[in-house]
Amino acid sequence: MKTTRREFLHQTALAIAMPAIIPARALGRDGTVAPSNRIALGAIGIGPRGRLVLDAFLKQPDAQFVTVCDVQAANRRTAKMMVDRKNGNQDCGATADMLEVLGRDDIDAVLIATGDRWHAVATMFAAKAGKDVYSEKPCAMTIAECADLDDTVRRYNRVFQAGTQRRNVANFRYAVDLARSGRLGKIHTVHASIYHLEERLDWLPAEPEPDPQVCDWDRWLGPAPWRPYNGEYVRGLWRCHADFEARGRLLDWGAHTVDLCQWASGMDGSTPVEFEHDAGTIHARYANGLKLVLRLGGFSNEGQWHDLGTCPVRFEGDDGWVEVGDAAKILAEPASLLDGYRADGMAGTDPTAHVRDFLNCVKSRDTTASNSVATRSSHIACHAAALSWRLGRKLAFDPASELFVGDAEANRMRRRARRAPWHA
Amino acid sequence: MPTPFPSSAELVAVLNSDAELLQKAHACQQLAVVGEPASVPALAKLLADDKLADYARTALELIPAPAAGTALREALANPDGHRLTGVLDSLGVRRELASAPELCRLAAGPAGDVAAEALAALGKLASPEALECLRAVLQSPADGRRLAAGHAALAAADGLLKQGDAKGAAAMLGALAAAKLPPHLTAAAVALASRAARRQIFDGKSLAGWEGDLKWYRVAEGAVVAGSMTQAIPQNEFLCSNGQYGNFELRLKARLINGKGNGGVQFRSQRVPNSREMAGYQADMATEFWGCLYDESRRNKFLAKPDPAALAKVLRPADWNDYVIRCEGQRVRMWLNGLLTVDFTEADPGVVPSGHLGLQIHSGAPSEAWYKDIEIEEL
Repeated sequence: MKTTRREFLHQTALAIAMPAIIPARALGRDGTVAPSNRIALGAIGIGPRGRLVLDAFLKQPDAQFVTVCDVQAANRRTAKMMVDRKNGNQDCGATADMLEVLGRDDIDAVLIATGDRWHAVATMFAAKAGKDVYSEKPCAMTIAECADLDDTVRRYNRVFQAGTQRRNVANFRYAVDLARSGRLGKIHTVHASIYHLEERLDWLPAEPEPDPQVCDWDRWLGPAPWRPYNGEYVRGLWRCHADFEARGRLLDWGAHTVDLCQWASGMDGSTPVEFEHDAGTIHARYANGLKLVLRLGGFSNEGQWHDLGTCPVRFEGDDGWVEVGDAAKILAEPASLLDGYRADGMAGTDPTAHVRDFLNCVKSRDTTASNSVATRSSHIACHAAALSWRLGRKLAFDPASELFVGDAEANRMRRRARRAPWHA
Repeated sequence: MPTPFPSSAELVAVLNSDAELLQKAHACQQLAVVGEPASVPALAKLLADDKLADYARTALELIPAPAAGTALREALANPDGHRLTGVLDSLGVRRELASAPELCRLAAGPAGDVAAEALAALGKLASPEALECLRAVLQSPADGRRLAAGHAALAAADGLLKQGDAKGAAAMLGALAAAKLPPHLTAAAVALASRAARRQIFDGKSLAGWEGDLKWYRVAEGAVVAGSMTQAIPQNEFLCSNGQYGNFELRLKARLINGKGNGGVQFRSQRVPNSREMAGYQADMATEFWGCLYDESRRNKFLAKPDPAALAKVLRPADWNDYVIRCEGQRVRMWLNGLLTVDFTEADPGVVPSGHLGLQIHSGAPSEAWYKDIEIEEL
């Protein structure tokens, strides 16, 4: 993929004449960033998680935010304050309209940390505007949206990093490397922790819509189905509502854990072919027989994990196993598998290295760790798993066509319409 | 545990009743999954409803009946711009090809959201009629309209390419290149064009782009000729590509002179240090081995083989055969003369999913393997 992006620019065999002058910035060649070697960014959707990731970006010397965007005035104020403090001035813009951010010529990339409902559409808007994207997970609300997202990012040759930062956290990387290197032997089962599966279909009691300058409810909803305003939604209590949180809550941890399992077992770009839900656990199987088990792992060490922190994953091979979690911990058998391991204490929730990887790729045009191709397939695997729970039956899936086999209802749940006018 | 869906008749009854907004919204969402042609009229009525129009659309997008598409097309008569953009989006998602004339008319209307959405929908349709309309708008003096047409045309070209219509894609991309568009959009079109053009990686005249022992490799009649008809071949030889490829589709023609001897096409392979061998996947060539996937100098075994009877029907033992090799992630597929001979998923995470190509002549009695028309499409 790297070769492709560079080589095509030098092909003489193109049937199409290139326009006389294309700024290096537009082509994404080396030298894309401003002469001072800084990457200019906009921040879109900056609530609690957004602030954490923004903070990680602000610590990077070559990242400079020029504007922030949030539909809530309080979030705008706080985010702008963070940026102004770093920049040592008051120049950071603040707006409720992401299209205004994306229309700016002086921005190379955006951080997208809205809620789930907006991630894919905002990313696609940004890609079409020629911006590289760091998008929080889960990156899409349906299987079709996962595909649209990847297609669009690639069509516009954008650097994309999904916020599955554990791909750049030392203990997780070590565990994945044990699996990929063959030191665990042939991998037969991988385990991905998830929450209790649930979804709410009710609406909270309607409250008067606030002044859009304070909270723009229409923009907050974006492409999600309309419902009357209630202050709780915009204070983080949109979670669990099926219209706002990716299906069944499965992708909240699943976007991370299933992604790590697929990476570890060499299944990036593919998905399981079978999903079956049984009492809170989803058993999935790949075409080659590899098993993926999505099972409960909570904040209080539910689910028989080794208490290594949140978002645990476990990889089992014929010659050993390894388990890791967010508390910078790792366990393996035989223990000698950990002989080469050097802990650095980074928590699984820490995006620092992942942000650095993104910024490096914005400059080099290389492929990120959590690129759109890998993200597409691991997210689709999650959505398919969640549908086996939602429909209460075993589902067969074809990774090549991204369609369920012999289940018309499941296939009709692969997409949902976007509320006007938020179409990508 | 989530409850099963009500019947579509029950859900339609909810829509036709005095039920609360929430109930009707929810009924629309369920009709997206279980709705039938008989559900369409009740949903169509809601396309004019301020709060329920988008909910109705989510069902009409997914009900696999012509009536659903017709209902959406009829809603184009509603002048409300906001809801119109939604209907246009849904027509694009459904690929209602018959709506192309109406979409084209709206695309030519006053510049704004409606025209832009109509253009986007035309891009999703990508029918000849739709593409003709896009081509016309790409020449428009109006910046906004031209930009929307540009994005739509790019999406259309991308879709055509994915369906294997490289010619159609190239034509669209040509129109894009000629239009005045922002640099990043033009750059995207250029990139897509390069993907559209499958690259010849053997020029038919020289071994440029490859390395190997010239004692055993030459060019004749537009083909790479490997081996010798007069000298025995003491060890396996490989002509190795300079380029390395990860995910790709490789197409070539190959033959064994007189149907004798043994050759093969290496892919995702590396030269073995201090030897003339290459290690990695091989699409094999020999009596009984055509169409087989062999793991050369690595696991040293066949990974997958086609059904011999099916293969015998398509193989041309002494003549040119068409080999197609497609690598996507862990999945390797091979076709010989159109027959799928291998559909293999690599289970070993230690196997690197990229590497060089190679053209082999196997050690043994005098023989020649010929290779030509070698082109690659990187995925």
